[in-house]
Amino acid sequence: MKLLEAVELTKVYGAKRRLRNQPFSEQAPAVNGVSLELRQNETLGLVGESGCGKSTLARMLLRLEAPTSGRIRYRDMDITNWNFNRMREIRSRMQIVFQNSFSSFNPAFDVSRILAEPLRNSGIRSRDEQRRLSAEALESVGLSEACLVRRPAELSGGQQQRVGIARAIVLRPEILILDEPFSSLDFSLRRQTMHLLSELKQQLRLSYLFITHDLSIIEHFCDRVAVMRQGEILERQAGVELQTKARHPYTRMLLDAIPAQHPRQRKIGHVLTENCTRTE
Amino acid sequence: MKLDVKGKAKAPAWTGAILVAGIAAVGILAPLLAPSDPLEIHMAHRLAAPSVEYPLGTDHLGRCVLSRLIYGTRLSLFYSLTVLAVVLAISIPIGLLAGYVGGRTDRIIMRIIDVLLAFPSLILALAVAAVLGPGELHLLLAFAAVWWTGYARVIRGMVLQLKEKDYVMAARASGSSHLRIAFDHVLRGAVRPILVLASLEVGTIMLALAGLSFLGLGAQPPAPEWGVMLSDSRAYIQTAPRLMLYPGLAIAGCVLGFNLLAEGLRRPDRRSESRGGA
Repeated sequence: MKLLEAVELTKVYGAKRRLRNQPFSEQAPAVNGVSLELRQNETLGLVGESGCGKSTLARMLLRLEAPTSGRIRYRDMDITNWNFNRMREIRSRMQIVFQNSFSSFNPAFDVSRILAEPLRNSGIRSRDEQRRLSAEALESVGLSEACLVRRPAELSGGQQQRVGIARAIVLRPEILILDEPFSSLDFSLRRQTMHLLSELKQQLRLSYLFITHDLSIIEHFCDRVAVMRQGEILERQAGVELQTKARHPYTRMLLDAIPAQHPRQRKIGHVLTENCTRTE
Repeated sequence: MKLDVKGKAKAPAWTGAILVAGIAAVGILAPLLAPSDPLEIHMAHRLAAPSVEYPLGTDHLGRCVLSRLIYGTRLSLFYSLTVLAVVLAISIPIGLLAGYVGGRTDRIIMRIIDVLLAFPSLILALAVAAVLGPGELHLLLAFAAVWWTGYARVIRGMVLQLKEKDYVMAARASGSSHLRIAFDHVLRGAVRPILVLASLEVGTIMLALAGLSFLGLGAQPPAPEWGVMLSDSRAYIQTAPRLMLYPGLAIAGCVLGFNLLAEGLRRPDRRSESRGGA
């Protein structure tokens, strides 16, 4: 079952058409004719270097940015041109966890207001109800209700990340876009967050679109992987097979760039598999 | 929003706060503080030297200078705050609209502002006041009409910066409407800088208003307004220079107080801004 689908999505920044049918030739597109589908209960990895258009693609999928051309489908409904009110109804179905949680919180808001915002927007206006659902969301990411009165600046990096996840799941979505959720965390927090996300996926029956530039995580976390470069998808593989079956030289290059744990393991065929099993 | 009480700006900030509080208190308590009626004329006591009855002496019509100064605080403060309120009421929505909506709306608004800014503001206020005729209300309107442009520009700039914040994107993802985002997330971040700017400008506005009154366009005699007092006593600059000294000092004190207060408010709230990363 396809939950969210991109069809030939293209984004050109600063695109202007003088004539209606003139092609967008003036600037290199940030995303160029990408088609992608997220299926139910799967984790789709989207890998690529910084600036390859991963985040732009994610934002277009959530209709946070308007595509220059192409379609976006949610459960076979074409939502490309849905207006604000129609979008609002399905916003609760698809949420996003930002790369840098701290900057995704209004510094003037405390955690209770941060969590109440999506609730209020989806029509839950009672304060008690907001509080109950917020506390529930906090609990499921391993934070206590006491955090509600804190400001983001008073939380540690790991707690901020958890609040970011709590905000995304407070509406019980079915799709979660994870925009490099680990890049601002150190290694131990990375591991914790990964476990948390795996658990949440089971509990809440989520589907993840997992955006990263770090291939070392992909294999155990993703069911399928798409490799992106310069706005285009180069290849797709099943997660566990990326290591063995990667065909495109760029993918190979990315794989080779993963640091080995021991110098002797460098450039040996199944480095990654060994590393991961050992660290688990 | 709080004053920085521990940093280096401690002294000026508090001096400013105390000065402004003092000025406000004088204005509010004017009837209790003034030794005599500011409008009462005693031709027998013209240009009297300071005495117990008239602590700062009398002016050319025998009115108590101290009482006039005290009542003048009321007028100056009231006028400049009114101008400021009108200016903010015009410039905040316009700046927010231009910055947040952007595109063509922004370009049109900014070109209009450019045209208005091309006129020297004080001269333009003078022209507007002259067309409307003399009188306090007209002066205030004229003033607000030319003063909002700078604010709108500054506010637009802040909005442009704030609307690119990650938390604005997050609010959109959570389904917040543009109107709510504009107020809750964008304008909220601009409140502090706007307040700093406003408190910095109260002094300037006061000065300019006194200047226009001095020229005869604002408050009219016999109103105990500082600019009017300066203007009235100009003829006696040789014989009784203190008549010009006191209102001048009062204006300078007010401007200084508000400027120091602004300086104190400008210090960032460290707790919320020192942690950029995470």
